[in-house]
Amino acid sequence: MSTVFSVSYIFADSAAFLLLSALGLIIILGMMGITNMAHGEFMMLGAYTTAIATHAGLPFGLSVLSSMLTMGAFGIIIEMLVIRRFYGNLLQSLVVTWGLSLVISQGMLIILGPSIPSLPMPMGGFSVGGKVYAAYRVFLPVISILVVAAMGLLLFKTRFGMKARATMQNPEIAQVMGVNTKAMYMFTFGLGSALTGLAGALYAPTTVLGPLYGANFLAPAFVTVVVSGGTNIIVGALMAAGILGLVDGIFNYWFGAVIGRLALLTATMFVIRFFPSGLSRWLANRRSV
Amino acid sequence: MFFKLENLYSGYGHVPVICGIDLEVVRGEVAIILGRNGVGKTTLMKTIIGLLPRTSGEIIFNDLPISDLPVYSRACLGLAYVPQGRGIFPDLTVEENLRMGEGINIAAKTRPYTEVFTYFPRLKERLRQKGGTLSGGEQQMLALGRALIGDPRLLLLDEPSEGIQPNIVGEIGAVLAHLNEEKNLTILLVEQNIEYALSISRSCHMMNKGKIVARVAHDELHNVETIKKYLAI
Repeated sequence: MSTVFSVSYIFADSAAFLLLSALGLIIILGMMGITNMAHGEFMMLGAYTTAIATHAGLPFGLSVLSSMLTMGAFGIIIEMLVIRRFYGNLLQSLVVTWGLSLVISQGMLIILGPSIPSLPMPMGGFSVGGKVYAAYRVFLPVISILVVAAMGLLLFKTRFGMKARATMQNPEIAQVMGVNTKAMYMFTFGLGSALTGLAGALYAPTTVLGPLYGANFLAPAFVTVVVSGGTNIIVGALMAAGILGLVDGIFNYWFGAVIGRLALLTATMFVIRFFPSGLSRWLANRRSV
Repeated sequence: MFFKLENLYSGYGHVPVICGIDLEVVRGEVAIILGRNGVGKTTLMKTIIGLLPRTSGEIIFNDLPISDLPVYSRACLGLAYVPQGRGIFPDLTVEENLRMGEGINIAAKTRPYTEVFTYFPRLKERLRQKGGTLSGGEQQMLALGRALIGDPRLLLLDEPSEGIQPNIVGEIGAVLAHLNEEKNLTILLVEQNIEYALSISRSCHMMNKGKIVARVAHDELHNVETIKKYLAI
């Protein structure tokens, strides 16, 4: 019983980590074809905002919310100043967002130094079968499901979501149907940034806060994106995080964290080898047969 | 002034394709531009809706110069464009594709779903299906239906007869004729299929090498020599 709980705990924690850290990246890539190399730095800014707000006396929950809003606004500004000049140009957008990541991380190093005071883990712990677990690590998967559900509702049940999907499929014809695609891209980039900020904020209490905070998330986030593929953002992200989280959970429990991470990367290689355009494309092709 | 092109020029980069077109469309008219492949028909349509910027000249719509407006504003004003190749959103359902049409002509008071389903009952049967799974003819119906949901002031059609079965071509032609006669819908259509053009309009503008070279009446169009002369076949 406690083994089952332990493995589920690691699985849920790992899947939530993958899902949350990748969601903003997947939305920006899926909706506008921009691979945001500054993704990790956006997460760092989200974490910093939360830490600073919390230390200033704001309750943790509100700090997280405030960093989501701040990063949404930040994303919109970055889109207007930089990103909108590079749509449809994969290589240039890679270089420019990479440059952006350097500017943000080095800028933070200059302004706030190599680290800022970290945050205590909220919520305390509980024990199952003699082992102690962090309640916050159970709370994160719940939040990740809620966030994905909210994204699903936004994309598939609202008029805005319909226009966003139409823009993703054929921007020219979306304009012909009265959609201001420029504003749509700006808003979607803001949304992706807000989700990235949220993820950064939520994981702020789990580790040290420095300018390179985002580096912890970058590889897992990109792995999740590659495995999910860009066809159906929501389903793809859920499948990728679920499968990779399961692999990580099982191997992590019996063989330790290093083997767990190795198994995760091996699983990714298998997926890329057998489903080169990602799980969501494979699923879409199967459905249409 | 309902709709007018004044000495319109446009093209791709430095290559001029539309070389000084003057054309007026009166409210309630079906205006047809007939021309062979490559004379610039699609370029003209893209310039009117704004997907291609004009080089010089002016487009007047409802007394308003619109050539500096972005595409979506022109759509909001009531221009509905049905592109060659249909432009269906493949991963949106038929219903969602139709609802996208509501972005056209924001001043419209009604969204005529009932009429569209009367014209094209097949769309109603396939509401939940993805747009990309429809046949070519059904996609053409969907593209036209989507534009009609916008309750447009001017319907721009780019070769609606291209690549679909003759019976569906006829069906769509009948719907267009009905819309024009009963609902007074103004239509600007480019075609290379003479038979089709003849079935819905009394006269045609002949286009060649980026210019309108003549206006030809219905009975003259039956004269093969006239057509040969203007279309340089």
